[in-house]
Amino acid sequence: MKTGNVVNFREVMITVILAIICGFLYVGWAPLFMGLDAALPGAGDSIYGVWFFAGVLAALIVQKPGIALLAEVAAASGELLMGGPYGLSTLLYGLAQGAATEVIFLIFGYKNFKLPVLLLAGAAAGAASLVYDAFSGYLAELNTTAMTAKIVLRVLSGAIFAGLLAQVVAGLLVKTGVLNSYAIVKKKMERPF
Amino acid sequence: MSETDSLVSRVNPSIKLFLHLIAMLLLIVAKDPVTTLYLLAIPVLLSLTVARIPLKRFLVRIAPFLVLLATTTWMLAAYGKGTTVVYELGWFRFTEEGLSNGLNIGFRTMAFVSYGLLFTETTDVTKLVLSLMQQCKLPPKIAYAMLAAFRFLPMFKEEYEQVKAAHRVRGVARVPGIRGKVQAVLRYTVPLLAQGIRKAERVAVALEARGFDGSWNRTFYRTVPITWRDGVYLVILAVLHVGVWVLVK
Repeated sequence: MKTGNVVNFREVMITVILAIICGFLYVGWAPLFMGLDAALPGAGDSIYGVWFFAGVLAALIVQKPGIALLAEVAAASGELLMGGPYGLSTLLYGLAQGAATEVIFLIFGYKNFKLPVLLLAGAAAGAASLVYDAFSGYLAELNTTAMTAKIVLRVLSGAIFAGLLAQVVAGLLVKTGVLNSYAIVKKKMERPF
Repeated sequence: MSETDSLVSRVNPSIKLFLHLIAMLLLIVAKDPVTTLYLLAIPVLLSLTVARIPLKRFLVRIAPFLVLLATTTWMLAAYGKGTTVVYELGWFRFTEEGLSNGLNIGFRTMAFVSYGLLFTETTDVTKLVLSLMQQCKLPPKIAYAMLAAFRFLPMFKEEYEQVKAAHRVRGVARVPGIRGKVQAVLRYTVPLLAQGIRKAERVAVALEARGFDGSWNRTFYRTVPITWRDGVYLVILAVLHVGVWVLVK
């Protein structure tokens, strides 16, 4: 069966819902991050990757263009609506992270969603959020040690908490059977070996 | 997101969003704490006057973010660049530049939060999405998915508690330590996501069954127009910013 590369409404709908659930979870994550970050810069960054999870997960499930970006922006707006602690800048973070995730999948032509690509996508989102931080906030003003720690840890955290975790969670969701009509399962059925 | 009846709540949501983002951009340009503090005063002032957000409500909503102000300032003060050391304690090294940067960025973060609060407190979600669709040409496919999803937000909280309770009732053992925490998060998140997917599919089927095809071939029952109030809001923001500029010059 041939699947076009244009998203249908069902796919948009599950992307947005998954993203909003992630946004709901992010609100609970923020205080943990802030506490860790105040204690030791970089400590917060080691768990920062969770914020890129929505984009990678949705892209992995739907495997079509635009999904990662949509998911990150939707997650950000969900977080904003729930009263997340970063105000409107959440939206800009979402935009930057989603775009970076999207670019990685685009490079692989939306065909390769194996673990290395997912790790790369998570790491790219981390890099994008760092660029935004450098532009808007506190990154450039830190001393060199703190800055390096933040950069390295956040990129790694993106790869693990977004890339690897998305793979794990998607695997668990596949087992529940709810994803049977989406690319993540369908593509495997087409080419079982 | 709710709506108070005020000038700000009647400003077109897309235009409000755009104006607030520009104001935030101006905040990024400000480099010293005093300017930033004045700029921070703008959204606070607007919230309490033209937006008519009650003082008590405003304080309750903004209070948790004072922690953010404190942690940001602390991080930059203790780990910032700078040569003039004011005070040293263990691996923390407070410098004058660090403190100034810390305060500047702390205030900036607060201002971002205030603009966010001013926006969410005066904007109805449905209106926002409709306006994004009507003025910014957000595809209806995405807009209606967002509208449906926002409606589900309060339900997720309930469902999360339900999943937790269901696990407890069945006596799922809680493993102590970090491993247990990770397991618990996965155990609660996966059912939540699976439920979400089922809900999303039902919504999609329901909408499509009623002829929704996500195309632009549609009319709107509710229109969110651009009015003179948008101009007034723009002028207010512009005047205040010019005022700050004159003040610090």
